[in-house]
Amino acid sequence: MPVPTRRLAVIAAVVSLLVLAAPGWPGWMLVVVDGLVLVAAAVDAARAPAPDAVPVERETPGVVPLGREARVTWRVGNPTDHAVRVRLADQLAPSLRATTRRVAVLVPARGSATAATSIRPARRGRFDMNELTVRVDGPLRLAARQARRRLPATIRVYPPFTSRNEAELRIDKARILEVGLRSARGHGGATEFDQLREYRVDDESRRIDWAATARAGKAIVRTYRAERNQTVLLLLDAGRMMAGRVADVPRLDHAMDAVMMLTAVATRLGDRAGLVAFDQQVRAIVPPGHAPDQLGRVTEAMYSLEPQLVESDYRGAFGQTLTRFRRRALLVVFTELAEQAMAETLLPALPMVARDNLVIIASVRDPQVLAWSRAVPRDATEAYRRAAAAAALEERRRTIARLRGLGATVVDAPPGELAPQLADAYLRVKATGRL
Amino acid sequence: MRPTGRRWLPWAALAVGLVAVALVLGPGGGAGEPYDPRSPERSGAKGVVDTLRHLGVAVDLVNGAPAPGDTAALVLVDQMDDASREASSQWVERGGTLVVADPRSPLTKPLRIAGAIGLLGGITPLLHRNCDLPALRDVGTLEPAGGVVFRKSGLGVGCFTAGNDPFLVAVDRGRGTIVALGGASPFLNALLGRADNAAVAVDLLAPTAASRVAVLLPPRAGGGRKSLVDLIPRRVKLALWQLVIAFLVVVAWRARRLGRPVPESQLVAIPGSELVGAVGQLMQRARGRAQAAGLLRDDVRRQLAERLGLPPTAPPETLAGAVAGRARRPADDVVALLTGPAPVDEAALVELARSLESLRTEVTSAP
Repeated sequence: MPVPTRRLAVIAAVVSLLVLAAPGWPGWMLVVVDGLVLVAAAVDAARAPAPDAVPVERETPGVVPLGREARVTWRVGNPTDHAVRVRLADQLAPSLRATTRRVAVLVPARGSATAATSIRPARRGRFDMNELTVRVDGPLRLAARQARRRLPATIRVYPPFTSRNEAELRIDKARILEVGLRSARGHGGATEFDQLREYRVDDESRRIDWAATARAGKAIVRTYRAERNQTVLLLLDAGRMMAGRVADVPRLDHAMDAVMMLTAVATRLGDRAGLVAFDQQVRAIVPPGHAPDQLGRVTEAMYSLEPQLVESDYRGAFGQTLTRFRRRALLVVFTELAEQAMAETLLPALPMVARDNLVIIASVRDPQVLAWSRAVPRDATEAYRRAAAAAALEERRRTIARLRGLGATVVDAPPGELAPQLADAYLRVKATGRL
Repeated sequence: MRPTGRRWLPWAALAVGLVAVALVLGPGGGAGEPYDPRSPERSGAKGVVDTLRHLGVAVDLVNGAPAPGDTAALVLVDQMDDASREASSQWVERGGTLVVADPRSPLTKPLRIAGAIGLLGGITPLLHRNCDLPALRDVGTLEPAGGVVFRKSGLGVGCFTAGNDPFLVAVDRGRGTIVALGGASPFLNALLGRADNAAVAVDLLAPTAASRVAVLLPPRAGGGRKSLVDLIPRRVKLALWQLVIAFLVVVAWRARRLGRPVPESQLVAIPGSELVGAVGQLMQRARGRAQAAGLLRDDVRRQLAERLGLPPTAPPETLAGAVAGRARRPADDVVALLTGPAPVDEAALVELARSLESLRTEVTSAP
């Protein structure tokens, strides 16, 4: 069905002004004028190219990190011999925060024109675009034709990985540590034999390999390096407890940042990192690996996860993890330390994995609750709130104590510090050879 | 809390609006309507009535049509309904003299208007009689302020011409006469004293002292039978209809949306601390002062013990002794603060929370 244009409405309004300014217009003349304008609009719509016949292409960035800007570009062709005005409306979701999702271009005869908009996503996830609405004006721009065109595309918005710089710092630190190890200052049994080399003045005398010294006729020491190819499994809880916002970001997103950091650090240090994301059921698995693109695989597997308002099934997630990956591993469980939920879900299931693996429980601490527990109350409401905050923190401490009692290491850190503290905990495990 | 700075503004606007409506719709200030024979204003016609009465003529101010006993009648503005107009015509047929000062009145048909007098409504020339109408033999000139002249024809007798077209035409109808004037201005108070305007009025309406004159009152504002729509000029109506068509075009233009709305699932927007805040509110609603005080004391006791290197289960007296040394407070006061009775009201709870925080700060900030 043809669509009237703004120009047609303006013409109709101008006719009313003419009628007002020029007395003596008979009513029939007005009917004739309106009829002529209507016929002209109908002919104009008929002369407009069919929207399906107008070539339209869309270029999308494919992957955009959350908070970064990207461009979406449309290219419109014109198969006719006269210029055509084309309007487009794309299926850009509001969260992509596009400057505009509707553009208008004047396409020259037998030519093409481009239009673009910038997007700056406000949330991560997968944004599918299936269709594009095309409206083509007639030559007189009195009427237009409109149709929806199928033009599938996807924009994937990845977590921002705000701790990237911290990850690089940890990697550098770990490598320096490794150089230290190679100077034959080993830390207990946490290192594996690397090579034999000539004794230097700062080497420990207990590292001298006497057999090699006898063969070589000079002092030879054993050097060690941190063990590699160890497995780090990141278990990401995506249940209801991870939906709440801390510092205006869902807990799940804080955990994702830590997952990315740990994956980056572990794989760069030669270990194998993998991911198991779950709520009531396992929703994503990335087998452990240390390929350079392992961070990309992990990010790809979890970027579209949203917290589900269900109770997480730790027993099922742990069971699947143990079944699939039998090798001893460092299990890092990202969750929330709410006492009641922990008592009913995680604590009963933890012995399943704590027996043969090293377990770290990672959680985001809410600075708002901490601030409430330290605030000097101005009225009764704030006093009660302070009491509730104190109780919540006490419950959290009890939960942490129970988890530690079951052999788990707990990292409970505020936003922005979770990922670095977790990486430090991982590096401590590596340095002490506990894995 | 809502801002209160401009709360009065809507009420003030409403009051101003009501006053404006009252001023527009309410009665006038008592000065009288234009063309009203009771009005002493410049636009009124009380002068004609007073002049006639001063000459001993009986003048009646009537609504509708003249009475059978009247000898002459004056219509300043013809907004009569059809029945009154028909009655007036019959009254003329029976011998009355009807002076119609409204040139667009149907009563003046078949006279036709030739045009306006005066230059662009400005200076109006003095009109000379130029006729032999017996009733006007004593007057020489007439000074209207604007108005029209009738097209010269063989119908009746025309006087006071501008060019060849007369301002006044007397047409015999039955046994009576209709005197059509190109405007009522000569009979208004502002101009009645100019030229021979008053003499024309007297000669037309009361040629003898025994005359009985009816002056027809103009209708009250809004008292007519025409609706508001009837009063709108035809071209304005057409323009409005065209605007409706333009509006429909706009509706059709805007109704077809360019691109459907893009649905998107909403994320959970609940702060993680919401539960803690809710627990605090519930505690307050349940008046759990004792519970709140216990929680606050336990929290501070734990922090103090941690700070002072004591076990969390250390007796209050032991803890108070250590705290007293650090905070320079009597141990008994510290014990009372850490283990005292539940607050009696919410103010006491707030005071307790402040005191505990003060104690905590003193101990934890001490070197």
